[in-house]
Amino acid sequence: MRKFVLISIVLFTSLFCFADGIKFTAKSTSKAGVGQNFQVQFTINQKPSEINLGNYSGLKLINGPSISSSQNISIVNGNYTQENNYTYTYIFQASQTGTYTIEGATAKINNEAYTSNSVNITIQSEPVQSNNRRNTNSYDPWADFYNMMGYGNNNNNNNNAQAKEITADDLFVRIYVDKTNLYKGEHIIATVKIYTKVDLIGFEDIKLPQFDDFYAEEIETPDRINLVRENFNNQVYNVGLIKKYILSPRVSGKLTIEPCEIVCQVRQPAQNGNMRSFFTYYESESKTVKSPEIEINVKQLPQAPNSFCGAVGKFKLNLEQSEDTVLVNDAISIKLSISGNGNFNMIETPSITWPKEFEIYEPVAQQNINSDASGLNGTKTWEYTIIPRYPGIFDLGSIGFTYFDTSTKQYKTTNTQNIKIAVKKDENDINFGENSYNYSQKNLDYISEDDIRFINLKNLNLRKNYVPFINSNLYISILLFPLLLFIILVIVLRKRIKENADLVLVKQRKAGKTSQKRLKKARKFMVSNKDYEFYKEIITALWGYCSDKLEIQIADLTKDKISETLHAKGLDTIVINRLLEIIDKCEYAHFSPENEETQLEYIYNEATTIIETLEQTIKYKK
Amino acid sequence: MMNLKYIKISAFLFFNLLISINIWAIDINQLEDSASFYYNKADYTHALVFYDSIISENYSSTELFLNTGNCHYQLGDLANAIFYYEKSLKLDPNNDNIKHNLSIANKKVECKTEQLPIAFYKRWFNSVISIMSSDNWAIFSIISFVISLIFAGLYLFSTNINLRKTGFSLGLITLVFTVLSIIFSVNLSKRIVSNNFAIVFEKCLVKSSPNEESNNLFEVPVGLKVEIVDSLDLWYNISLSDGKQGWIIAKNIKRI
Repeated sequence: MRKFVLISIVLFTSLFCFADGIKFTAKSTSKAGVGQNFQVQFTINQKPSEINLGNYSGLKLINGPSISSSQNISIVNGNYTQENNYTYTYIFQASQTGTYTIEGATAKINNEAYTSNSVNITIQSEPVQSNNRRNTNSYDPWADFYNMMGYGNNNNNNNNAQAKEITADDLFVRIYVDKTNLYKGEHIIATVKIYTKVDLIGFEDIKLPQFDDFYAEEIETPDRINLVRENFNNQVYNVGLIKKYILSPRVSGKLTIEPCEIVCQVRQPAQNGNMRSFFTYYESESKTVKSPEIEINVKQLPQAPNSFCGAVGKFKLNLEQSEDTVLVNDAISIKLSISGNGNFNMIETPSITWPKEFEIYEPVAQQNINSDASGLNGTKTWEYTIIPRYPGIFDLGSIGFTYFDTSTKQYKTTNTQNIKIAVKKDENDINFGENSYNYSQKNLDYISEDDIRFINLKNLNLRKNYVPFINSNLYISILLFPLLLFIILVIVLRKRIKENADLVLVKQRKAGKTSQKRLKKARKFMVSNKDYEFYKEIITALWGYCSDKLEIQIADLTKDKISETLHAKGLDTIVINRLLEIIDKCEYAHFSPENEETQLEYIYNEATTIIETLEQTIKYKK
Repeated sequence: MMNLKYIKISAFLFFNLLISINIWAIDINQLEDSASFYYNKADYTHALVFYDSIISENYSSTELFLNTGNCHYQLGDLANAIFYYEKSLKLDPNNDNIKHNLSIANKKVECKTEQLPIAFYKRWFNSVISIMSSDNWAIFSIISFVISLIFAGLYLFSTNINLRKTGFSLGLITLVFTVLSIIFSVNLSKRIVSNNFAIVFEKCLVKSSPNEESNNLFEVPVGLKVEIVDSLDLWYNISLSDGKQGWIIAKNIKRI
């Protein structure tokens, strides 16, 4: 009977299989949580031209269909079997609890419609634990068969219990720190590593520690986690580096680094006794691993000097000054940089005291800091722009920076060179406004300040109800008195003033004209043959001209005096001689009447030309 | 009879006047001496009491204001120190001691206003004008005027042409000097009399218009010298050396 049943089943199945050759099945997980995604797979062994989902009321289609196909050819006892499988995967989500039915989908092959079985899903309020969920990743050719036979996926849950337990030795996560005992401000390097002996496929969720008590800086690690073989506790593990951090404690005392929690996906061969073990069958499993807590002991730094601002490490201070001699109102750039290795995040803008003679702008801060295995390395720079508003020589002192040197475990203060600035009033200023200032960064006040001059002026020269002298009546009267005196004098002596003006200036100015008049007169005498009058007139013209022009009193007038003055005026000797000669001739002729007419003419012409030349040269010489 | 009484009364009055002048004279000298005494003892609080009483009697002098300013400076009253230094400098614009003390006091003023560039001719004018005080310029102008008159006389009354020439040119030059020195003296005296400048005595905000509700423009620190441009009721329109202008309540500043 039993045999018969078996044979009939075999017969029936073979009949079923080859009846029309189309198998169209649906399968899905039986349970899912609210809001959780779940898959529904429709498998068909011939490529359909069209596939339509049945009614799935109450559910929400998230994605699908995603189509995959597989081909399976088998030759058993000369029987050639080819199996094609097309899988249409849909992803659904439910928003409410309850039992839902996804009715069978309709596929169209060669214009004939086939309908798959329907699946039932129970939606529960809690999401189905990923640990309990098993996905059959590899294709199981028998799965469809089981489904058709009514096994469904229910068996899957039973398989779980039989899977090999992954122990804490096989898979664990560890946070490795390079030291657990350190000074506040020092840094530690924390490395999160996963150790595995099992086949690790991926991570579902990585919950990294928060590092609340630390300043954490991540060191760049490759995005892809590569597993490297490593020996740990005399066992060989595949080790993957997950994250690397530089941690600087914020506070001192006993600090803990929280555990790191990772949900891993592990692939394991299925181990159960049923028929499926004939095939290489793997299933992926979620496994949550948690690293142990780490305790870090942060020691308080020894008694710090006042200037200490929290920097720990090894630093170098550098100061660059764009110019040391500038004009007033020219900007100077002062660059202060701290470079080295240590907790740069604790270093704040160094406080520099600037004297009030300078206008200061907010410093431009720049930082170039790289984090690597040795900690934070780099440079922090502040660029100050200052504008001197007053001339002088300024010594602003040096800027100090105190840090805790981790190598010597001592405080160390480095100082820059003194900032010295000479400010000129203008280009030509060489005394720098005669001001010299000495400032020190330590002492906020002036070291040596020019003090006011405390001269006790005993004689105060007090004046009651002071009115400026210029506004007083006294001033005006004092000013008017000499003026009045002067005016009176002028009025009294006005005749003399007039004479004076005539005597000298006018005469000199008019010397030429008067002589011209006399010569004209002489010419009249010459025409009317009045020799005596002619000579007399010529002589008076010459003498008069010389007297007026050369400012010689008539009484002092001699030929010598004339030639002397003319020489002094730089006149040509020939001209002087001609003048003297003509005077001689006239004087001679004046007293001896025998004369020829030609001589009159000659003398007249000579006298005229000489006076003309004299007039021109003397005027010119002036 | 009436006459005699009249004479008696007038004589009495005259006598009283004499005494009062005398007492008053002694009083001032005593004040001066006491002030000087306390000043030497570096008791500036007491010295200041005497200096203040001398000033309140309407006395003024460069030295008085300088000493008063020094007392205030020593007592830490920056605004008053600058106020008196400025007052002193007004009377004697070329006094080195005042200039030095004022510059040091000014260094302590919290904010520094940037001096607007002054045109070169104004700078020259200012440097020439502050060679002497107003009174000295006035005296100089009188001397130079008398000299110019002498030269004019030389020009007019001399018969010697050379003397006349020099008399004319020098007379003209001295006359120019006279006119210039009168201009300088008047200019300086205007500065003394007009008191267009003031010192800030209370740190306060300068408003955009003369009422409390208007916008704040900027703040002026104690001891800053400002120029008064205009006034309205209890408000002054002030102008800073860097050109900023605004209204300030009169009680916060004091005219130099």
